Parts: sequence; structure tokens; C-alpha cells
Amino acid sequence: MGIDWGLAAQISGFGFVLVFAVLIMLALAIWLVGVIVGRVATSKAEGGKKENELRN
Amino acid sequence: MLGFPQTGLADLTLGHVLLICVGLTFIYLAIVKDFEPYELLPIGMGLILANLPGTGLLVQPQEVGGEFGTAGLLGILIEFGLLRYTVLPLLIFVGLGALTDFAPLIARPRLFLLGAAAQVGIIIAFLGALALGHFGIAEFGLEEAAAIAIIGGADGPTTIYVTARLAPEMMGITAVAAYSYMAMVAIIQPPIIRALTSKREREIYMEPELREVSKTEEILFPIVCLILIILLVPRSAPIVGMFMFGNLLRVSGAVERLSDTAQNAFINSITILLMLSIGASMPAELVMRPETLMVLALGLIAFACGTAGGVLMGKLMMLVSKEPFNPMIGACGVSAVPMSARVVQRMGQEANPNNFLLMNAMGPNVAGVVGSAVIAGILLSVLG
Amino acid sequence: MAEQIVKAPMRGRVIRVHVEKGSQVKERDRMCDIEALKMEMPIMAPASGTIKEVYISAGQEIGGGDPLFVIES
Repeated sequence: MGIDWGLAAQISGFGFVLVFAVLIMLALAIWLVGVIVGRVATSKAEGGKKENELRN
Repeated sequence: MLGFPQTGLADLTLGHVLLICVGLTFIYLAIVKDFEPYELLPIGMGLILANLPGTGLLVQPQEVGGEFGTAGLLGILIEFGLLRYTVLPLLIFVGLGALTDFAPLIARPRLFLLGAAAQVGIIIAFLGALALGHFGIAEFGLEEAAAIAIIGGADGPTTIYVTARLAPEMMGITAVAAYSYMAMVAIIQPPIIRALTSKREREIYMEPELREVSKTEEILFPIVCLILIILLVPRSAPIVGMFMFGNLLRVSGAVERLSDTAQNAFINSITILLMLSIGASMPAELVMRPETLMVLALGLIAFACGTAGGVLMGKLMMLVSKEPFNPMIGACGVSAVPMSARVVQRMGQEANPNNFLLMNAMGPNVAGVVGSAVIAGILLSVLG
Repeated sequence: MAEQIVKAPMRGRVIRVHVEKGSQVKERDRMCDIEALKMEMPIMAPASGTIKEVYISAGQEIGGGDPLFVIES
């Protein structure tokens, strides 16, 4: 049976690398989201604290 | 004059009888042994219905001159739910997304790497199937090889979706292989994990609980994943889109009724339809061929190599990581959720009774679902 | 004589307790079973000794780090 081994190699090699690439990007994106959400939450908390201090 | 009612006995072949017995076995396994009952019971029934001759259930709707002729119930479900338009497995993904908790992965995004590494099983099975095709042992071309390989994604609906689009005559058998091996991870994975890790490594303690994940992160996760993955691999959109949509229903907190429905009534209804159709897609004519055994063997190889790949990546991360990292959780990249994670939890406690790896193991487990969806998209964009 | 507090590894629920105050346990004996993340898991004794205190009962919800037992060995 005639199999296009060139294409097969492309799918296997390039495909596998692509999966890693996509998931690494996802990991970075999710990590970044975590960092940003964390910073926003901290600054909100600090903003709230400062307001209370000013009032008192 | 009305035709005299014919019994089906005359048309019953040995192949039919065999598959009816297989169907009965599945039903037995489901009821008595509690072996993947939600899949095997309807699949078993579908198998029986497909292999009793003369029922008319399997007649598929054919378009003749712009109109559809008569068709059987199962034929309709198979044609419109799986073959012509592969709708049923995609709808299952809405339910699966609604049932999936991504918090363990959001808390440690590096675990995505394990979800990627475990997909090596798919690649190896792909090449193995092609080799069989190359040497004329089986009629496996690129499409068939991809459909067989995706069994290694350890995800039923992904397997069904890819096979329906690339090699529909194998839909039933790849699905059965996938669900069976998922149920057997407790037997398949431990020997491989033990072979690739030392006792010391298996004892490595990891903090059982992960950091608190905020609601905002949980909401942004499916949105970010969906947009990023679909931009990079557009053909993964049907699976990833539905999966992340389901997850958003769950985490948004704004649509409790929809989330509840997706997790219960909706996914159960679609499961009934899908599993029955899958069983019905296996009449003896399609299944009684040597290729079937080869598919089963390659599927097992996919699972085994995926486990190995995940564990090896786990070892790499263990060496590089600042915090303690138990390489066993790599095996959970084989996305049999939550079976793989439970296997690792048990093995972890065997090695070290105070070690509760479950939450850490869930991270790679759910990452693997994403990983196999991405690979499915890649296969479909080249071959579909 | 050393005292050890055995704590809950994560948030969950106690399913059943196998020991009581005064029980003798050997290392790795099952002291109780908990359920977390939909999985049943045993809490095993970290060392041999006598159970000095039992803080939990079947059906109780526990949080990560909650004290479960005190073992004297």
C-alpha cells in the first residue's frame, strides 16, 4: 500500500512539536492571567486599606 | 398480498452471533462488574440490535432525488449524529467541560507540559499503524492510522469524533478500545510507572493542596484556552469550543441552571444516544476482520507509550523543578479522567503513606484532555 | 515518649474511623478513611504507638491541616 511517509513524518514530527508549542503557550498565558489577577486583587486590597486609614 | 413475516434466523451468521455475545458480555460487565457502565451498557445494546438480522434499524437515510427515503432509528442516529454531521460527540464535550474542574491546572500551569508529553502514545501508534499498512498487513492509510492513534488520547468523544471524520467504518471499534482501556488504566499504568521510576522517586512528597484559585482565573481559563487554541489550530474548534463552552457554564456562576443541566440531563441524554449509536455502528460485516485485533493492539500500545512519555516528562520536570516533583503524576497526562489520577494517588500512598498526590495528579489529567483535543485538531487539519 | 499530631492532608469528609482513644497502632495501619475529590483514601499511622486523642467522627467535614489524631510513641 502506498503510504506518503513524507506526510506521515510531517504529521508526527511537526504535529507533536506543535502540541507542545500550543500547550506551552497556554501554560504561559494562564500563568500570566494568574499573575495579573493576583496583582489586581492586591492593589484593590491595598487601595481599600489606604481608604480606611485616611478615614480614621 | 402481504409478505409473510420472515424470521431473522436464516440470515444469522456466526459473526452476528459472536457480536451478540460480545454485546451481552458488555452488558454483563456493566451491570455485574460495574465496568464503565454508562458506556458499555448502551454500546452492548447497540451491538445486539445491530447484529440481529432484518430489523431495519440500521437502514441509513439515503437521499434519492432530493428527498430522504425511509430509514431505521439507529441508521438515522448514526448518519446524522456521527457520519454526515458529527454532532453527538461534540455535544458530549459541552457536558464534559461542565463536569471538569481545571483549578489544579490553573494553580500550576507547568503541568500542561505533561498533558503534551503523554500524547507521544498517539504518535507512536500512528507510526505503528502506518507500518502495518506499509507492509500490507492491514489496509491502514494515513486516515485509518490517525483514527487508531487517537485512541491514545484516552478520551472517548475525541476518538469518536476523529474516527467518524477520518475512518468511519472503525468508529465503533476505536471507541470500544478507548473506553475499555480507560477503564483498565489501573492495570495498564502501574507496571509502566514502576518500571520507569525508582522507589525513591515514587516516594517524593508533594504538598497535597494547591493554592487557592480565584473565580476570575477560573472564568478566564476557558476563554483564554479557547481563543488561543483555536487561533493556532482552527480545526480543533469543534472539540475545544464545545469543551470550553461547557466549562464556562460551570465556572461563570451566572447560569447555575444551564450548568446543572449540562452536567446532568444534557450529557446523560446525549450519552444515551451516542453510546447506542456507537454500538449500533458495529455490525458483523464491519467488525469481523483481522484489522479489528490490530486496532485493539495498537490502542493498547498507544496507552502504554503515552504513560511512558508522561512519566519521562515527569522525571525531566522533577530534575529541573525547584519544588519537590513526583514524576508519577506524568502518567496522568493520559487523560483518563479521573482514573489515572486515582491510580497515581494509590501508588503514591503505597510508596509514602502520607503522600496525597491526587490534587497534583488532576492537573496533568485535565491538561491531557486539552492536549488530545489539540492533536485531534492537528490530525483533522491535515487529513480531514 | 513523643507525641505526633496527624493532620488532614486536604479538605474533605471523614467516612469512617477505625481507631479510638487508647488503640494501639502499628506504622501504616489505617486510622480512618476520608473522601476528597470524589475519591476514598486512607489516613495511615505515621508511626507505631497509642492513640492519645481522636478529634473526628464519621461524617465530619474536615479542612486541610485540621488535626485528626494524636499518637504517642
